[in-house]
Amino acid sequence: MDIDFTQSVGPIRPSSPHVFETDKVQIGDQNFGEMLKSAIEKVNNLQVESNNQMYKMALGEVQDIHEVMIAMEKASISMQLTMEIRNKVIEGFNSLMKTAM
Amino acid sequence: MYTNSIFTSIDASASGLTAQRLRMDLIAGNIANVDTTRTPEGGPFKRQLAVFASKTDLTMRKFPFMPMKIKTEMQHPGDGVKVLEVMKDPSAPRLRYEPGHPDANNEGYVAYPNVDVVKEMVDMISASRAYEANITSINSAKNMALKAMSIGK
Repeated sequence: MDIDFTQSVGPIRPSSPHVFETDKVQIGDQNFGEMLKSAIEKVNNLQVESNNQMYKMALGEVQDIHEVMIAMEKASISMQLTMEIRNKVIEGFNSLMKTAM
Repeated sequence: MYTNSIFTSIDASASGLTAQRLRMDLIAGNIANVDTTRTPEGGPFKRQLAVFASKTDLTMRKFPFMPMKIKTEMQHPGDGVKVLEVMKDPSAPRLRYEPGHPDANNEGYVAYPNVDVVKEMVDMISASRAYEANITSINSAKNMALKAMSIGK
């Protein structure tokens, strides 16, 4: 019985042609870039809202202190989540870069 | 459709904070006007009360003839509270014998507001505790979100 080792190993090839086409990775109607962009936009909106509330607070236009605090908390939570996601992405990138060639 | 965000509970608690703060304002007004005998509508000041309703209840009110099944489906947990109205306590005013008072009636009695300071103090404690409870709930929700971010660390 002869075994052809070159046959069994073979070249590393994506199993389906779509895997490496990142543009085609879609979530619903939007692609990954769009999704990231809209998520960051939302985080930014919360930051802007927090800033507006702080300005209003300084100008004495705000009636409820808790609204300012809550706007700030929301901005802080969403920002922290964004930073966590960024850290994960960078972590993944770094482990890719450390791959021994 | 019911969407659940980490901010749902925070928004509900925020509405609770607003409601309790309004209640606190009314109590402060009641205590401040404990001896007010003159108001624009005439007669003594009347104790003011806040009527609270859940936000879901308000949407239900807009469509009173909706089938029960849809109504139960529409009920979202964590919808928060809204101040429906500020009503005036209809109870009778306190009468005090003060013949020299300019607002005294023919028999010498002055109608004072139906505000009981002791009752107002109890309500005030209740309002401030409820406010604290809402803040605790906000902090708890925030800690939950922060704990979720520490998954895998």
